[in-house]
Amino acid sequence: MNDHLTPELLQLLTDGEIPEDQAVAVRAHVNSCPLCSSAAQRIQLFDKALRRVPLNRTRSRFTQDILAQLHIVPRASMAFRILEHAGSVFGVVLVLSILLVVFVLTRSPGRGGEGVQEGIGGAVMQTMDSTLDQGLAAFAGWLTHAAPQIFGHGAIGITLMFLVIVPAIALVDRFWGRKRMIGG
Amino acid sequence: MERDTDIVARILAGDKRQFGVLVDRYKDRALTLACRLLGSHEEGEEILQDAFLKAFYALPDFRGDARFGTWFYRIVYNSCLTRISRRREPPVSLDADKDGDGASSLPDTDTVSVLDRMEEQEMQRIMAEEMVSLPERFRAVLTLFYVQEQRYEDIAVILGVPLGTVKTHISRGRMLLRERVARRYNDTVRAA
Repeated sequence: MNDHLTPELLQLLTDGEIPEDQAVAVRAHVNSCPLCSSAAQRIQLFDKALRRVPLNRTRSRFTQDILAQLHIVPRASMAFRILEHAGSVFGVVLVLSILLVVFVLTRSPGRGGEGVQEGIGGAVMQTMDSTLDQGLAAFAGWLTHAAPQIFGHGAIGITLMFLVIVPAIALVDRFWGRKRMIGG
Repeated sequence: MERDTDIVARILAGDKRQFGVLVDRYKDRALTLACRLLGSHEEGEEILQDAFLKAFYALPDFRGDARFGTWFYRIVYNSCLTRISRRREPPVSLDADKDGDGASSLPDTDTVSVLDRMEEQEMQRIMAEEMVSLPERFRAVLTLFYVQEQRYEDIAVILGVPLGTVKTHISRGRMLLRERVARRYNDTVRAA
């Protein structure tokens, strides 16, 4: 092979559409010829980019919905879907609550009387402190006013609410919602 | 990874839940094919859902002489053609070998030099946009080749056209895409 290879042949090589015995000879030429090697690299670069163009993605419950339509699995009820998302919401709330408790317990040494922070940093911390106090007090007041039966006794009420509502949704889902199937 | 034929055998033996494995394996690539042919994500998902249902009920007829992917993509492709024909648009003819697309078989020097200057990510972005605007016969073969990673022979089976037609369309489609990507890049550079 003294002449240069055609772009079509180089493309077929990249596509893996040349029989292996011929491909060996073509590859040998490409490795020894700078011009053909450069042309092959360009083709490969374009092909690589084309293979990496992002795929379209189906919605998250696509597979479950197909299986439900085929009566292979029960269709998820509304309660199940709420519960599915309630888990993540509950997790985020839990993490934020822990962070808040840690912040409240470790904040502002000035409150304990061990010393007052000075300078701009101290002023900012004290402002944040007082804003947080006011915000928490207002929020707690609103909760107590809006639902005194639940929030009247503070954090115990909130905990009880989660302990009752989450299992209740799970029970409804287990005994009622998930029994419903399409066409069933 | 378990082979498709083994999964199909288990489904046919009664373990129907295994169909979910096949759905997970093929859904995104098949959706990409449907979206590129139909030009709409919503319609693509709808067609894909129907295609999976058809495939499930037709599984007993799947003889295993073709790969499952090839067989399934053919169902998706035919469903897309049916949908397109209902829109009363001109039917897609992969046998039509007209040159109205302006694609030559070789890249010109300007195109090559422009592509050399492009960053890969930028090339991918422009490619994704330009791919959708290619004539349908090129969109189908290029998507099957690059996204579904089907071989020329399998693409011919999926589309129901001769092997020569597949080769021609892949070559011309690729060339047209190169030219359009290069042109878009030039326009962007000039505008900047």
